[in-house]
Amino acid sequence: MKLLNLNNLAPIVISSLAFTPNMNYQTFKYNDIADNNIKIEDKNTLNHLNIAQESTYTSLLTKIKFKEHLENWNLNTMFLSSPNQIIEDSDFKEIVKLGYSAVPFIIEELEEKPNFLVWALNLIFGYKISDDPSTTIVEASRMWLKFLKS
Amino acid sequence: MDDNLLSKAFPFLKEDSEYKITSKKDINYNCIAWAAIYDDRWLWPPHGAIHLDGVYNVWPKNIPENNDIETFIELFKTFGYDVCENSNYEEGFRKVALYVKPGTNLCTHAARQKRGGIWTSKLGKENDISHSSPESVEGPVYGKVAYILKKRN
Repeated sequence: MKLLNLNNLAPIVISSLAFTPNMNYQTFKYNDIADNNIKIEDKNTLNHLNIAQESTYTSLLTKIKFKEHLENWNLNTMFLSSPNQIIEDSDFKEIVKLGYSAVPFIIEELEEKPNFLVWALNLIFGYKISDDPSTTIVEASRMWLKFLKS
Repeated sequence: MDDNLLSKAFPFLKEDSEYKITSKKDINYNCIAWAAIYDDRWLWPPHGAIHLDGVYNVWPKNIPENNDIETFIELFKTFGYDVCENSNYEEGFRKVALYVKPGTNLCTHAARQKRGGIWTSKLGKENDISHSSPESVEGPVYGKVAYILKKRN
C-alpha cells in the first residue's frame, strides 16, 4: 500500500525530527528510513536516498541539537550579567560539547548577527581571537568569522 | 524583549510607572560596566572568564577575583563610591545599587541612579531600562538589593 506521497517524505521526516521533544538523537540513523515500510516509487527520491550518506543526516541532527541548545541557552541567560554564569549554563556546555561539528552552525549564527557564541568558539578552540582587552563582542564576532573563513 | 519573560524575571517592573526601555539591545556591555558608565565592555572579575573574547579583564590587582558582593563593593570603591544608607536621591551624588541572590553572597546585578533620581539598568545581554527604584528589578533573576553605594558627582 502506498502510505505517502514520496515527494513529501523527506520534509515530513525532517520536520517531525525537528519538533520531537526529548528524542534520542543517537537512535536515528539513515537505515530508519531505509527499513521503513514506505514504498518508494518516485525515481528521483529513490536515487537521492540511495546516494545520501549517513553523514548528511548526522549533520542535520547536529544542527537540530545545536539550534535547540542555542534557543534554551539564550532564554536561560538573557538577563544574566556574569560571563561565568552564562558559560556554566547546561545548554551552553552541550554546544561546546558538540566541538568542531558545531562550528559551521556557529559561523551561520555569527554571519546573521554578532553574538555570544564567540565564547563557545573560545572554549572549543581554546583560543582567544584578540588579546586586546578593548575588543568588543561585536568586533570579536567579526574577527572570528574572518579567521574561520580564511 | 518578550513581555512574558520580562514579567517573570522582574515581577515589580509592570507596576513601575518609570519603567521603559531606553536603548536598543546591545551585547557589548553588561550591567556592572553600565553602572560604572561604560558601554564598550563586559566588566566582571577575571575568575573563569579571562579566556573569553569581549570580557574586559583589567581588574584592580588588589581586589579578589571572585563574584562575592564584597568584591564588587571594592570595585566600586576604586571608582570613588562608598557604602551609604539608602537609595534616596541626593543632589550632587551618584548612587549605585548592588544585588545578591537570597541565600548566597554572590553579586548578580548593579543599577545606577541618574540625575533626577531615576534608575537605569542594563539587563544582561538585552536592553537598558529606566526604573523608579532599585527594588523594581528585584526578583528571581537578580534577587534583592544588598548595598547602596554613593559618590560625589
